[in-house]
Amino acid sequence: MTNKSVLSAGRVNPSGEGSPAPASSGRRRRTINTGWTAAAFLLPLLAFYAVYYVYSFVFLGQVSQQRVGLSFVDQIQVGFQNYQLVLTDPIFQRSIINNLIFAAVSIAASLTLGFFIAMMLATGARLNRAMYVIFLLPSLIPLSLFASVFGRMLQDQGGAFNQALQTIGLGALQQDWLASDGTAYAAVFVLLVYLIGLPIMYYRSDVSSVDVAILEASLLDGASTFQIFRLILFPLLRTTHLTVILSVLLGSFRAFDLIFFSTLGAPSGRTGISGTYIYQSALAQDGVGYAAAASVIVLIVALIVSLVQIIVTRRSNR
Amino acid sequence: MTAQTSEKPAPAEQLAVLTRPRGSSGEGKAREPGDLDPLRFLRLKRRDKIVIQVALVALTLWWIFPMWTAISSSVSFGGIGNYLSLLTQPVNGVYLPETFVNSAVIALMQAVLVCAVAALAGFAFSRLQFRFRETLYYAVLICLAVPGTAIIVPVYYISGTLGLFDSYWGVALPEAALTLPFGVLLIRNFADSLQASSFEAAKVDGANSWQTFVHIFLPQMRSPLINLAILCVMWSFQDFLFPSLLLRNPALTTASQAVQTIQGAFGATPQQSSEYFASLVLLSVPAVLLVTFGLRWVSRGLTGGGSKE
Amino acid sequence: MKRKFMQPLVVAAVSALAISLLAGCGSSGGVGGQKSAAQSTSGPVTLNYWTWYPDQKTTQTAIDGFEKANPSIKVNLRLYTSVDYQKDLPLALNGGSKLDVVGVQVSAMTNTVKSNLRPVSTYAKDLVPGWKTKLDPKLVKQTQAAASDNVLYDLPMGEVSSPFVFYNASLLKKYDIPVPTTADELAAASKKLEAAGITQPVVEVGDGWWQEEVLFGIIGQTDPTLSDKIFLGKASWNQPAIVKGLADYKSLFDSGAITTSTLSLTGSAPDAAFDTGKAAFLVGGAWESSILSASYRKANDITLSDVGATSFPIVEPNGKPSARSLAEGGLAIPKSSTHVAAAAKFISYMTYGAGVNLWDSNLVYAPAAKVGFAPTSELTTAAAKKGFATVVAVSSAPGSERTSQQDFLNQVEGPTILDVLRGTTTPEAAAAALQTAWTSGRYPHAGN
Repeated sequence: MTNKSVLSAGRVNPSGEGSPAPASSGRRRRTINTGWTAAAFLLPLLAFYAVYYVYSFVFLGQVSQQRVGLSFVDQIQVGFQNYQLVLTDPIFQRSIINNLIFAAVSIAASLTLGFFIAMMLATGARLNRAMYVIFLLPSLIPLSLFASVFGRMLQDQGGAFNQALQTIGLGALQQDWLASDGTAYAAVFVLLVYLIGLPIMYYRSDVSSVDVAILEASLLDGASTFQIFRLILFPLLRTTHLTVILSVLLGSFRAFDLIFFSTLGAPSGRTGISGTYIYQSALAQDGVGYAAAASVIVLIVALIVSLVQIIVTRRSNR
Repeated sequence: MTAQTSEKPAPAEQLAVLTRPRGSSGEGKAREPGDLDPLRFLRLKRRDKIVIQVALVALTLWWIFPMWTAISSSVSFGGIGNYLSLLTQPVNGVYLPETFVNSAVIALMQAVLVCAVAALAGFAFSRLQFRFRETLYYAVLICLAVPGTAIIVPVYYISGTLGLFDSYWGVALPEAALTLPFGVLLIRNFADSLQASSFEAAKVDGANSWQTFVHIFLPQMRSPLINLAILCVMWSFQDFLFPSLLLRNPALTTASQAVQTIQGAFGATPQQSSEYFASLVLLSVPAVLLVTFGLRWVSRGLTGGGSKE
Repeated sequence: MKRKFMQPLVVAAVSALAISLLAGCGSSGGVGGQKSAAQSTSGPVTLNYWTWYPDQKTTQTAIDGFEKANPSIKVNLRLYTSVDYQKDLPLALNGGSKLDVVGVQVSAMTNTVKSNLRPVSTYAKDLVPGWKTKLDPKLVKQTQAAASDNVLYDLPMGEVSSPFVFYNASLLKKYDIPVPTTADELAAASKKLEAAGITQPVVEVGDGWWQEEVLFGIIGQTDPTLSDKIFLGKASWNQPAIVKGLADYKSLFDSGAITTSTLSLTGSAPDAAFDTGKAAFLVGGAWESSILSASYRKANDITLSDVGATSFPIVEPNGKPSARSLAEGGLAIPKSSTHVAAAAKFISYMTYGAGVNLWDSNLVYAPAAKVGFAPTSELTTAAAKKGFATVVAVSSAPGSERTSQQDFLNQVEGPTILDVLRGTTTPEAAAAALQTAWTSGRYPHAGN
């Protein structure tokens, strides 16, 4: 392409790139030149990657075979024992399952409530810009803050939920929400619902590309607004659904603040997720190697999900 | 979990950009939510409109409820005086206004790093031809999946070995590394949609790659770079993980880290409980302001990579 | 339009870079092994002292005395909560924080921070002479044994033991309730108090780590050496004594002696409830004895007038009062300190010097310094005097050491006991689960 345009412009490039040399060697020279140029432009990125990804993975592989503390001295080689211990730990297994459970709930909430909120906002209701900001806020402010506030609301004495129940006359339902599995999970689900701001943003922006004519036609056919949402817009926004699902699945392994500040795994560590598990193991006595093994396992799972995501989206783009 | 993390860009955004065909015309439109909503133009039944309005208001109240309880608890014992004392006195050795400065500096450093590196790399991927270009690109993108918690051990070791504990660089560098995959994706996606003519003209004029980059590429990338910068600032503000591990000097605590630092300072009495809520509300102020006033760029950056003007 | 936004952004970015350059590089901390820092030789000295206990007022009083006696040395105190401190200190020491004196939780923290501490032998010459004779050798030995390499890294301020029950004597007198000695008596007292309108008559910390102390307090009433045997790897968790102990502990909740809602109180919430008179009984360790001291109550604005203490109520018919004790409150000098001589002086002062009198008046520890510290003047009521005598007597009686495997405690033992108390699992299943986790190899311990 570049060869043709240069030659057709009929000018001689002072750098010699467009000089009337045989086409093949000119192309080869350009490839070599741009190869080095590209390397120069890519150098900062590759430097970051070399240190924080390539070296990190290699380092994790090494440290996961040791028992060592935060100071990384006096390490004891233990082979694959750390991996065995991590994989057989019921708390770890539970944490991975929790990742998936919480992701599923997040997805369900995004595809239903998130979708409807976005559609309702898109109808141009009054104050919809301000309401839009409010829906987005919990997702965009530091999660450590929001989860802390939410965690305080769950407190038995003086927590806002219990106080609200008292005020509306359901005082009998007051309890320590983090004392039993069922209510603790429910509390996390509620917290997850607060965080569907970004899917709302996606639906909101993607609905702009829908053809008005289709919607007007269905209105003329007598469809109610909610039928339009459910039967026309929902199927139309298929790709957005896919985006939301895949991104939430992926993000489930990145979550940390969410649990660390709200439940911290209560009760008895059963709402913990992979992030909190790794963090707590790293701070245990001589636990850095163990945490590294857990990190490797989580990385592998996350990278597999990412591969699937890239393949699926490439396929849907063709 | 809806892509809510402490230390990495929520992947919803990354994937949205990924699933869009590169260089699609959709990015050319002004993507301000609300501008072109087709639903606005429909003549909906009045009853439906009322139901929608009521539902939205109810949901908004539900969404505001947590922050409202925090604010009301913060003034229940001690009133506004709680806020005034928090602005002037340290909590567990940490001055809250100072945490805003720390967060801001780290956020800006990270934004500069990511934008610079992503611009350079995006130019290479988009405008230069070289062998293994696509393979390298996918190798870069696959690291979108790396959770921050999975690399805390190597990051801790690297920071210690390089002497980066208790320094701004120590936090900005790993944050930037985790944001780079998204940054490269964003920049390349947008760059692919640029007109080839300006670049061809540059080549005809004899510009080398660096000149093309500075004089042709960058001016056209202003919009996505700004969006990326604002996104980086927002994500850096949210990061708790790396500051908590790498910043132990109370003077360097960031706002999201301070949430943990102040936890132990307040006991169980009602007065202290109010003060605790007051500090939480105070710590959220910069982020709320950023979101309220920066939403336009955040939304553009996340949903399309920016519009050309 | 764009230029208008670009300029402030560029300015902000450039100033951020400028600030970062001015702020300078960070430190390497302890990664890769920490070298002992070189000593600064001149000028006034400021020591950074981090600890979790005793409380702010008590520690500050002792510090003030030290600063008065040593005008060229200042001490900056920073207090953490006990649980936060276990995580924050290793991160701080490894992260290169410049600290001079650090408190060390002997059983819980010695092994996580010892690689960042100077062994006592390296600065023994800077200590005020006589520490080997002045400090109780038993406690020093326990402190040394807490480190897996059997090196002495810190000097203990004192000893603590648990569990005990502290009671609001005026409240009991008001409702004519005798001090309970058995579980049944405690249940009766609770019922009477609940009828009088006190909804949580007995409070205790609901955190996982505390549950072990009560459990072994109960088991120790019939088998005082079992705790030692288990933690030395010589006995199994899955045995009748443990099952019985768990069932006994649960029975305290079932009988109404302790309400399940107290398990929601964490951190300092139980103390707050007791201090404000909302609870009549506080189940805690001997570290709560400060509440017996009139000067402590005055300094912390606690309006209780008469507080007493007693041993944990006997649950099994043939039980005897029991508590587990251990040296606690180790003071250590980190490798990053540049003022070792001054820090050693401070440690001497606090562990066997004039400082002991100052903090001992608040009854925070049973001092490791052997020479007669008996703060009788602070015990102003008969209940307080009797209570303190009980605490001392039960602590000195032969029993197990108050040790545990800290990670096992935080991740398995505490949560499992809480599950039993909440009824989520049975004592038998819990004992079996404890043994499985203990022998899994995930939590290194003696005999493993």
